[in-house]
Amino acid sequence: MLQHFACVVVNCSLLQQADDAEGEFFRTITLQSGRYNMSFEEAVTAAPDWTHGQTHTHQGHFVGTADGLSLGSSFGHADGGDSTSAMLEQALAQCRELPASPAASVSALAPLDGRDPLKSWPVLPDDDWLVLQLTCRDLSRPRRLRSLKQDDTPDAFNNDFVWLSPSEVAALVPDPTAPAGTDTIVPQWLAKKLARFHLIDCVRGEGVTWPESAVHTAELTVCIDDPSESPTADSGETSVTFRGEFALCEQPDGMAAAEWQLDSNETFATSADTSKRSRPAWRGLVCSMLGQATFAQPQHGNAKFSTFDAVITGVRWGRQHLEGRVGDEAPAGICFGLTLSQDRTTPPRGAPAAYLEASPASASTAQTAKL
Amino acid sequence: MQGLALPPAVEALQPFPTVTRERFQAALTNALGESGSEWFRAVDWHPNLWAAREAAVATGKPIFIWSMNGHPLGST
Repeated sequence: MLQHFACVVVNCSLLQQADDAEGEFFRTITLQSGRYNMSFEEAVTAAPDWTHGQTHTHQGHFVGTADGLSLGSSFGHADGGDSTSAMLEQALAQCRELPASPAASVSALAPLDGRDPLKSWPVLPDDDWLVLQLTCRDLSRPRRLRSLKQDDTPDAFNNDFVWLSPSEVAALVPDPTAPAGTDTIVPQWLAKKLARFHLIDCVRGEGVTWPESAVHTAELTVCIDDPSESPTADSGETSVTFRGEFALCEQPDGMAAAEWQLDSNETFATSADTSKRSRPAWRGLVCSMLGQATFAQPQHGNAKFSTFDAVITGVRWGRQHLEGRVGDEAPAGICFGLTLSQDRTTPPRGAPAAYLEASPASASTAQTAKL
Repeated sequence: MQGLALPPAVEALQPFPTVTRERFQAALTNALGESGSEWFRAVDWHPNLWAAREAAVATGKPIFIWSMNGHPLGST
């Protein structure tokens, strides 16, 4: 079915507020949906000045023409996708009935004149960037500590993507001529960036970046493995081991610490009532990392990883202001897996400008590859 | 954990789970699970809405938008 469409996935948290032609086009389509019920003319008029920061969501499935005419929308997955499938079929039939679009030539579509830098990613990683897929999930818990949520969806997980620019990759790798077995400290700004933007409990829904003040520990070292024990000894590549320690905690000023009683029954195990607390809620994470990777370091140019695997395990507690952890906030084990990603277009979670500027060398790397 | 006072219920869970070299591969497999193999990763998504709009103009196809708070293929 989807081969009949020009398909795109978007993060509407960003795009619905984008102050550019792409955001306006998006709002033109979504404002005609069942959520807002505007006519095409009303949507075209409202879209440019649709108040940024409005809490109205633009989540859902939408079909529209290149002119911005809505052909259908659906929301939710309660029916297993049946309503979306039906909507797609109807939208396709409707599209075939439309007269030729005035924009139905490439020349009729003006090029995009820049993107809102606060709401869009200015770059896609090229081959010099290190792109990792991150998967986050709960570790198994003893029965007495399990919440109803964990019983309902024991295999819940979520994904994120790590984009490291060439200068960040350079900061991550040790000098390949350094003696094996010697720890090299990865710059703290990079360890802190990984912690703040990626060591986030998103198992039960979208996560929130840690503020700088939440970082108590962010230590990462890299050590060249003994070549005699390394399978890459004859490949010209360098095999390394990463080890890290991280501790993060966010507790609003003046707010008493939530208390959980893990030895009590299930109700108590999940009873710290932070559900009525507004942002920021109380949360924490203490974890350690073990990673194994191999990279080639050409004489001139950037190091390139051929493998990169890491596991981060520890204990998380509390929740952020988003609601995923409500009812499942008691301290419990969590893990993050990292590996090289095939997907090099899905961006990291979080705000693009903040993410890219978290590196001291961001100014020189942000233009590496124009989107 | 410089200066971080752990809540009693967190302290009670010590020693915290860690990964050893011996258990590394099993822990990685457990952490990654089946993620990355979902059906929607096989769809030929355009990298952004404007690229999808340009493709719609060029092909006459309608645009299908999957929109979520948080990227649908990432953390949502």
